[in-house]
Formats: sequence, structure tokens, C-alpha cells
Amino acid sequence: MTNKESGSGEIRVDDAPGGPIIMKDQIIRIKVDQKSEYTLDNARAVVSIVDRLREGLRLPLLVDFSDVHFLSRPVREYYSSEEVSQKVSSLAIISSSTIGKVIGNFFVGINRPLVPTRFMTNEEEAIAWLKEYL
Amino acid sequence: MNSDDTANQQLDHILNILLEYGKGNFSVRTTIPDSDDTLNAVLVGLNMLGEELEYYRQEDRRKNQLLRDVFENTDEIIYALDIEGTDLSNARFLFSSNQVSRLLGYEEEDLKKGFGVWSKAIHPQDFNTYRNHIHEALKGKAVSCDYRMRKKNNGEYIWVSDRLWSQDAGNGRTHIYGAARDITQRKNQEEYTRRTLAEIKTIDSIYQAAVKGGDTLEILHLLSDGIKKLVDVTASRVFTYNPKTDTLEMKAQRLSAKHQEGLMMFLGKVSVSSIVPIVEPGSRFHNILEKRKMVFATDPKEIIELMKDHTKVPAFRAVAAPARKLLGIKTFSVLPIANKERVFGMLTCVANRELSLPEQGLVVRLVNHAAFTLARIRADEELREQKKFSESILNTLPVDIAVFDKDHRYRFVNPKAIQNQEIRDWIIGKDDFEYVAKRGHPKSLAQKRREHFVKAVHSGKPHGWIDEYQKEDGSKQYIMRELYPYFDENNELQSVFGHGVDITSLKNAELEKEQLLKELGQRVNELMQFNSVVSHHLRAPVATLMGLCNLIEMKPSEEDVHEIMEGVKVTSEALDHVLRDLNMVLATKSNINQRVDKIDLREIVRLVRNELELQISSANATVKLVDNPDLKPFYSISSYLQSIIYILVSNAIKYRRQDVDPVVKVVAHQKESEVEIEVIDNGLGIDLKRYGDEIFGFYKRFHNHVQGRGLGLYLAKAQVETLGGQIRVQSNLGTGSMFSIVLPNQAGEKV
Repeated sequence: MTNKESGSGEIRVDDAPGGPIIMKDQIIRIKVDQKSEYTLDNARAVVSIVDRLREGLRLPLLVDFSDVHFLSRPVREYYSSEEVSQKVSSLAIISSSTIGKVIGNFFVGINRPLVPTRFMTNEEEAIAWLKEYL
Repeated sequence: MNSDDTANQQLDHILNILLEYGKGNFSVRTTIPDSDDTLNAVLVGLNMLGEELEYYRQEDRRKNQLLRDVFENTDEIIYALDIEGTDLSNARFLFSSNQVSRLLGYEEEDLKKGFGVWSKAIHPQDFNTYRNHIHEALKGKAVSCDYRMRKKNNGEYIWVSDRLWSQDAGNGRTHIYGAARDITQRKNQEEYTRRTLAEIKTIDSIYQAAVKGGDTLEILHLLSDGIKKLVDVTASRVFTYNPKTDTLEMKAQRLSAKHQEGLMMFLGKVSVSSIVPIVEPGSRFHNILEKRKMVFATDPKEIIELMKDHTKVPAFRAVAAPARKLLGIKTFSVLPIANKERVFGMLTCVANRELSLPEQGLVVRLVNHAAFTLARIRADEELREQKKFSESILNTLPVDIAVFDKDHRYRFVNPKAIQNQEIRDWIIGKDDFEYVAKRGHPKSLAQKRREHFVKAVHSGKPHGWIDEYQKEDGSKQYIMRELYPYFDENNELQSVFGHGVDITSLKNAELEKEQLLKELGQRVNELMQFNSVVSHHLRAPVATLMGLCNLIEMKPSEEDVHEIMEGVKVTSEALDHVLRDLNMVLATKSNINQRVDKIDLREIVRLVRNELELQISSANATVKLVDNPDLKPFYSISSYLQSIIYILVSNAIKYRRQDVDPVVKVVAHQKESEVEIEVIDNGLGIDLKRYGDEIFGFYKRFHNHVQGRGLGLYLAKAQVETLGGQIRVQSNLGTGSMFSIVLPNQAGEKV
């Protein structure tokens, strides 16, 4: 795993399973790669990276489901678990695709994570909402 | 592929998924690769929904399994009933746990056939209770009830405690849930406790009746009642045994209505009470009574034989078998109430089931207790009778009787020994030291008795002695006492039996006899002395007369004859004197019926002075009575007393000293019941050392310077003794003499 710090102060983890992870303005952003098999192990590895990036703080998490074609129940259950809620302060799911929207809404409506969670279509609005939980 | 084809293909996928879901196959997943249209998104949604459904179904299955595991591993029978309205007959089982099979042997499938299987398994006596509780549960209450359920395999019943609650299932239906726990052990324990309490109550009632003096029949009734309460019997009968006639006499019977009705069917007009066990030598009941063996007959043949032995009438004997069947007799108990020595009675009990061994044991215990109690009552009665009999003897005997324990404490005293019942009751457990302290007797009395007790115990043999008491009237009482130590077979001292007999009269008779013998000896001596003196004094003149007669035969001269005749005259006069004296003495000794008078000593002394007036004046003597104001009136023979005082005063003047004028004093003293009269003179005195034994002898003289025959003191002594008194003398030569006469007061007596 490689951490890159750009000049704008963001930290990128490009080789994270499922897609790159970026921390910018105290918000952790994950872009799930559509080609990757997003398994429970992937999810745990991602959360592990998030855990390192947050440096003990509970930070907002922005996940982009635009390229997700399926999110298995174990993964959804994991993201809505207490373990994750202790590491993040809020969760915003965004998607530009129809499938991502279905998956995102399903996750929010059915799995009901323990931290404040919203499905949104606009990234800026999502970031603005997440900042309330910094 | 055009857009229509794609849409159709996607719809087929969706339909396919829905069909699979309909079949319950939620694990089907399908998507259309590289498609991002809405339908594909729906497919993804359906996939996720199927995954959720599959998850919940698995979760549901897991929970169901968990619940079943819980149900199967609990001791309780868990079941659920579905009831429409309140009609229990249409109830059906929704669920029943495996315990139904394990505890009762019914399978879930059996129960699902209908409620009848379950309702029939419930004990008929308990079904109403169960139904009532179901109805309560239907009203929404959580209730609990105990009832018995029959096992499918062996028909035995177990007790269950069932908690029931309900839930509205809609459409007028209710689900009843039950959790029934096996409480047979607890119920058995409760039953055991109940029976034990009832047994104790019966035992106590028998004991209480015995303590209050209840008779045999009362005890038998209590026993019969107790057995009835403890064991289900449909008929019981109480008999007392008459040993004289060797028969059983029925005293009570208790029959259930059904039993009586059944008996009457077979016996007709014959009274049920006339059917009594026959106790003839060789019969079953005779053997049972003889061997004191309780019988719990369960074999039908044995029961029939016992029933037959209630009558000799063949017709009735013949119906014993069908009667047993009709009456449903399963146990026929014959219970002799007896101990080793005697039979008190018998109980018969009939039950419509076989009595269990614990129940038989219970009956045996109660019967044995009753027999033991009756034996004790009888033994106590006999003991009381024996005690009463023994005490009546001990209390009636005119002998002091006391029984002591080994420590010399009183265990029993009879009324002759201690008249006061309060003292008699008090003294039990106490010793003589406590007794004398209470009664104010000297401690020496207790010490003396203790010494005798120790002697008797140490010797191990009867020990006797005579106690002498001074009575209030001055007389003496003599009690002859004896102690008998009683040792047991181990030579341990158990008690000491003592008795005392009043031998005062015997002792007095003995003393009187001794006195009489002594007096007789004296009389014999006197008589011998008298005889000797008399023969001497008679022989002398007689010999003289015989000599003079011999001289006359020798033809003497006239002068000699004259002299001889003078000698005859003098000798005859001497012989006459002797004969007169003898006559006087005999008159004194034989005159025993003189009258007893109140003695006036002053008058007697006056008369004596008159008689001796000449001698008194010639001797210039003084004769005086010394007055004694303490002298009480007394009774005696006045003439004798006057004669005695005359002799003593006469002697005092006659044997006076020449150099002093004679003074004679008569002094009387009161000595308890006797009177002592002293005649004191200042005369010559008598040499008592020389003549002491002879002073009152016949014809005894101690001074020869004056005339006398030596008869006065002899007569005085004879007269004193005739009055029952004694005469003594104290004298000093040249100083004087004192004669003391002690006379009894003879008030109301004749000598």
C-alpha cells in the first residue's frame, strides 16, 4: 500500500482493494472500482486503511458507488456494523449510475448503518453534509 | 441485440427470479453484464432482496432450531393448542415438544390427530380441573394447574403442573400455550407427608384416648377411622373378640352406598351385620387370630374364600365369587388387633384397588400401635388393680408399714404408720431426718432409725428391734420393728421393707407376768417362811402339850397334876394366840373385796390417835399430821390404811428412846398418780444392816425390852401390798426410822 501526499494536502491510497482511497479536508473518499470483486475481505482491508488514515479521529466517509454492480449482504452488514461506526462519524453514498443508486438506497434503507448515512447524487452536496460531522 | 431484445431478455430474468422466489429459492442471482439500464438495476435490487430473504429465512430456521433445542432440552412438556371460540373439543395441537413422547409416550403425530388423545390421557378425576383452567387461560389469564396424565405404554399416571397462557390468533381463534412439568415426585412426597401427618394424627388420637381411659372399642373405632382416612376402603368392620365364647362380636361397620347396595343384592333380606367371620378352630379367621398375622389378600380366590368364611349357609357361600366381582373387591384386609398374650379384636377392610406396599405398611403400623396401646391400657388397669389390692392390704393391716429406697428414702407409708394423709403424701421421697425436722421430733430418732437401716442393709438379713415411747398420759408404748432388705438378681439393693407392730399390750402382759412371777416367788417364800414359822410356833406348844400328856399317863402326884394342868393351860393359851394371829393374817390376805373410799388422812390420823390415847399420854408422845396443800384427793381402802398407820405409830411409841419424848410425824406427798405416805419417828431405830431382809417377816422381833409378837410390820406390809402399794424403810440406830408407803390412787376400782 502506498500513500501519496499531493501538494494540495490530500492523501491518496491508490492500491487499496476495490479502488483508490483519498483523504482530503478530513474527509475520506472511496471510489469503488467497478471491475473489482468487492468482497468482505476487501471491505475489511479498506476499513483498515481508513483506520490508519483517520489517526484516531472519527472522520466522515464518502463512498462512490457509481461503478458498483453488486454489493453482497456480508459487505453491507459489515459497513453498517458497530466496528465501522467507531471509526467514521458519518457516511455519504453517492452514485451516478442507476445500479449504484439502487445499491446505495438499498444499503441505506435496508441495512441501516449505525452512523448518520445518506444517499446523495451530488458530490459537493454530499461533502458539505459530511463536513457537518467533522 | 436491439433495445427491445434487451428489454425482453431483462424481463425474462426478472420473471425467472420472481418464479424462483415464489418457490422459496431466494438464492437465485442474475444480472445482465455491461448493462446499466433501469431494468438491470431492478435485477440487482431483486438479487439483493433475494439475498436478504434468504438470510432471514436462514435466520428464522436457526431461531426455530434454537427454540426447538430449548424446548427439547427442558424438562417441561411445551405445547401449543389452537382453539376456536371456547370449544375445547375442537382444539388442535399446533406444537408439542419431545417431552410428550419421553414422559408420556405420545408422539407429536398422535396429538395432531385431535385433542381426544390428550384429553383421554388426563385422569378422569382431573379433567374438569384442566378444562376450567383452559377456560381461564382463554380469558387471557396466565394460570397454573396440577393434574394426572396416564402414560401410553403402561397406563401409570404421572402428576404434572401445567402453566397455561394464551394469545389471540384472530378470527375468533386463540392459541393456548402450555408448559407442563413432571411433579410426580413432589406429589408423592406431598402424599407421603399427608399420610404421615394423618398417621401421626391417628396415633395421637389413639394415645389421647388411652390417656383419658378409653376402652378397647373406642381405640378400635379410632383405628378404623384412621385407616379409612389413609387408605381408600369401600367397607370396613370392627369386631371385638370374646375369649370366653371364642367369637368375634361386630361392633361397627362402614359401607359405601354402592357396596351396601351390592351386598343386599346377594344377601337379600339377610342382615349384612349377620355375616360375621366364623372363628372356629381350624377356620381361616381362627388361624389369623391365633397367628396374629395381618392379611392383605389380593388374589381373587383368596378373597372369595375369606368372603365365604363369613357364613355357613351354602347359598350365601355360593355367591361369594360373583359378589366379589360385582363389588369390585381388589383387596380384602384382615387385621387382628392382638399382642402375644391376648386378642383384643379384629378389623376387616375392603378396597377396590390393590393396596400398595407402603399403604400396607402404614396399616400394619397403625394396627400394631393400637394393639400396643390396648396392651398397655390393659396392663395399666391390671397394675392399678394390683396396686389397689396391695394397698388395700397394706392400708388395712394394723401394722406400721413403710418401704424405703436404697438411700433410706420413703417410697410408701401406710395410714397406720402415719395417719395424716398430707404428711403421708409429703414424706414420699424424703428421709427420716426431714421427717423429724418437720414434726419437731428429736434428731436422735432419725439417727437411730438410720443405724438400724444400715445394719439391715449391711447384714442383708431381716433386722429387728423394739422402740419404747412415752405416751402423753405417761404410759409406755412398745413398737416392735423389723427391716427386710430386698436385693435384685444382681445383688443390688432395690428397697427395704419395714414394719412395726404395737406390742404394748403384749409387753405389758409380759411385764405383768414377770411381776406376777416375782410376786409369786415372794409369796412362795413368804409361805415357806410362814409355814416354817407357823410349824415352829405350833409345834412348840403342841410338843409341850404332848409332853404334859405323857406325864399324866405316868400317874403323877396330885401336886404334879396340878402343876401339869397349869402347864396345859399356859400352853393352850399360847397355842390359842398363835391360832388367832394366823387367823388375823389369813383374814388380811384373803379380804380382797373391801370398798374403796376417798381417803381423809386427817380423820385416819385422828382415829389412830384416839385408839392409842393411853400409850400416847403415858409416853408423853406427839403424833401429828403434816398438812400438804398439794395433795390431791385419792382413793383406797380406808380401814387398811388406818390399820397400817396404827401399826407404824404404835411401833414408834413402843420402841421409843427413853431419853426423848417420842414424836411421830405423818407426811403425805403427791407422786404423779400415786401417793406416798411417810411415818417418821425419833425412836430407837432398827439395825437394817443386820435385819434388813427380815424386817417385815412373820414373828420377827428386833427389840426384846418390850413385849411383842413380831406380827405388826408383817401385817402392815401385807395390807400395803393388798392395796397395790409398796412399803420401804429407812432407819438409823438411835436416831429413828422412816416408813414410806407408796399407794396407787384407786379411784373407781375395787381391790
